[in-house]
Amino acid sequence: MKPDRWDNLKAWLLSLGLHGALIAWLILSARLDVPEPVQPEAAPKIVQAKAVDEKLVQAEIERLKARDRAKLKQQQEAERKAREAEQKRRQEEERLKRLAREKERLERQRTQAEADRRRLLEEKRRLEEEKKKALEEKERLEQARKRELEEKARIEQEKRKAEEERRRLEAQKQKELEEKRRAEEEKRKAEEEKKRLEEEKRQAEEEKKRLEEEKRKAEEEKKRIEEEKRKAEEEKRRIEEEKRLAEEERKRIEEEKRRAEEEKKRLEEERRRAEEQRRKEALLSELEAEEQREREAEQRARDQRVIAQHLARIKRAVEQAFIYPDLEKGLSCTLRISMIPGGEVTSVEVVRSSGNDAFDRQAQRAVQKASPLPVPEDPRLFAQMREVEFVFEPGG
Amino acid sequence: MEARIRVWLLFLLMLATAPAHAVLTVRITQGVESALPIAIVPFAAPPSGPLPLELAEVVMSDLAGTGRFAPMAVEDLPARPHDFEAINFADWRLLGMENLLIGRIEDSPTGGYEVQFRLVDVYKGSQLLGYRVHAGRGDLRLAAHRISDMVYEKLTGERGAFSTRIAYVEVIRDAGGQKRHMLKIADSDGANDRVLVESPEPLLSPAWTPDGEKIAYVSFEGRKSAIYLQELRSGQRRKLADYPGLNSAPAFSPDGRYLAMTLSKDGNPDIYLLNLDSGRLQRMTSNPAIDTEPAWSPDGHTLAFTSDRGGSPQIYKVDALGGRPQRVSFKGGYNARPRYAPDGRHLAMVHGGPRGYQIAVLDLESGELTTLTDGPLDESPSYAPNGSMIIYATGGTGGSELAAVSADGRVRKRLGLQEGEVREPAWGPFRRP
Repeated sequence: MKPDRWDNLKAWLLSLGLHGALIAWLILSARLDVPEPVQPEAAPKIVQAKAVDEKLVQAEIERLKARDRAKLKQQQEAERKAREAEQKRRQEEERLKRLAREKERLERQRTQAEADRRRLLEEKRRLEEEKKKALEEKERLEQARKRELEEKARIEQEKRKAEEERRRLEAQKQKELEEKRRAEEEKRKAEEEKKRLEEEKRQAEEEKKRLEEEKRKAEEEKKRIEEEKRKAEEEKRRIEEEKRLAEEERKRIEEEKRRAEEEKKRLEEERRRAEEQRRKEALLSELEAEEQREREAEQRARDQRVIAQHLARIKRAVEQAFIYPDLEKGLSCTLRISMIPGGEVTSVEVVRSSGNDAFDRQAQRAVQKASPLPVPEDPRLFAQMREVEFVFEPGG
Repeated sequence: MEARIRVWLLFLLMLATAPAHAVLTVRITQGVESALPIAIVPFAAPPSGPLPLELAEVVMSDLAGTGRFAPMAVEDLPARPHDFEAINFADWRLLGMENLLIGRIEDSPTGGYEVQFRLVDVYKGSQLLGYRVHAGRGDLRLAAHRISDMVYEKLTGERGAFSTRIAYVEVIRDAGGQKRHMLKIADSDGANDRVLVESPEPLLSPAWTPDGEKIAYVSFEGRKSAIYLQELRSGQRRKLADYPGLNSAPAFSPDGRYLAMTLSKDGNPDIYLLNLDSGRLQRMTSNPAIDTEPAWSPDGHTLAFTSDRGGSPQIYKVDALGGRPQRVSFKGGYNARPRYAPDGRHLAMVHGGPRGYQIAVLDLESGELTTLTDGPLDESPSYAPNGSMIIYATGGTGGSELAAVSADGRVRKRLGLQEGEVREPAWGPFRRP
């Protein structure tokens, strides 16, 4: 615990004690101060007045006064005695306190002297100790220096020995190198000699080979000349043979040429005759076809006129039936219808809607209202308009 | 590989489509541009007895009024079938009647009526449409309009708008010579009207919210103009704008989040936008001339309005996010009160010329202006939500009355049911079924 904390605690304890004391005192004094309940004074009694003698009264008063004075004096005496006793007690206490303080001071002096003596002794012993230690240290240092010198000398010695050893090894190595070089030189010389001998041997053999080759060549030349002579004779014979064959071939070709000329003439004649025949026939059929086509075209034109007339009538009929109220502008739809002969509409199908149901419905109704539509009676023509598409685009 | 398969498919397709012999083709380039013939047979009455109104007549009037249907006169009907099985198709075909509407009305066990109807394709001999509609005792007229809507949609491909409502202002002078101003709503054919607001001071410019549940209008009660919003069902109302000066010409954006209007609180009348969610007010135009009568494009991106900044009243448009206004109308010295068609490509307006004021339609793409009516004092055009008709007020000898014209100007009719002077009709949105 730190001293200041301790102090605080002490102060606190002290304060606590003081407060305790104060409170205790207060309680006690309070108790003392509490006035005793006063008995109510008895109601004044009604005194029966009595006539008393004046003198008697005076004497009584005097007597009471004297008694009071004696009482007062007695009391003063008692107080004085008490004061004296108190003073005496205080002096005694003061004396005792002084004695105690003196005794304490002496005790302190004695203890101080004792401590000083012990400290001196201690100091002396310490100094001696230190002196001894210094001596020992000096001796130890001397010893160390000597050991160091010895060590140095030993190292020097070892260094010298190592140097000698190194030199010896160097010399030995030099000698070994010299030896090795010499051996290699000898080996090289022996090899060179061997090579030289081999070269000589090879040259001799080549010379021998060359001579043999020359001999062989001379013989070959002789053979070649003989061969050429033989070949020339053969060539001469072959040329004569060819000459004969060529003459024969020429004769054969001339014969063939003549025959081909004759065949060509024959074919030309045949083709001419066939062409003539074909032309004659074509002319005939062309005339017939032309007639047929004309007949058909006329028929078609007639049909188309009739159909167009009927379509125009159908358009009128449907347009009259098409009630087109004020719907959106630009609407358009496509219907496909089927009819049976006679023009009755059997089915109306919206192929493409306008997107407006009312418009589509009015278009469908227009066709239904116009049914039966005017169609040709001829079944062949009706067959061509059995189905019709209507595009409703009013204002379009 | 795939390419080869495709080539093969193409080849097969050609084989399939190439006719063995070319099919003859007839091109139908014209038709009879007329109304669709339809026969509407009076519906069988319920056992409980005759009805307060002839339902078939309402349908007939609805369809005929568009100019796109030619209903057969009741006395010309060759037969009066009520059931599909009873139809002799040949008879109707002989008369060229393409469509036939038949039905019966029965008493509903839950009260009211069950109306059952069929639309029949005479030439196909099949049913195009068949429904059963419930109607309360007082709702037969609405049921008839709903049937008209369904028939119209089936036969034209467009949504019908017969069951929608219109709002307008009617002014009556009572016996004492005092004017009574009434804001009314009625069926699209002008029938079934009822008073929404009544005031001795002028009421003006009714404008529907896009959901059709409320109407904004201008009232001069308290001797000063203010814009109110009133719920149709409950009659509850609240004040939307009461700025110093003029508060007029309310118009709701298509999403219902903004109210365009004319205010003069900063000097002279200009167009302002009120954000109905935040209450923030934004000035759209700022010009010394008068800018008024704003109208929203159906996409909500543009506001058209009337302005005399060029010297005479003309139509201008401005981006709803703000920007420089551009002039839109150029023909004539007076063009005012623009209203967009639901397709956003046409603008109806009051066009002033030498013969007075007529309703005209401007094609915004081509710039072509077509006059639909003949005046001389036609005002306040308003498109039906399907764009097929325009309702307007037309001035006559005895004041002005309601009239409607088909969007192409072909058919015009006066609704003529109202007792007083009618002004500023506004066609309401589609009703939820």
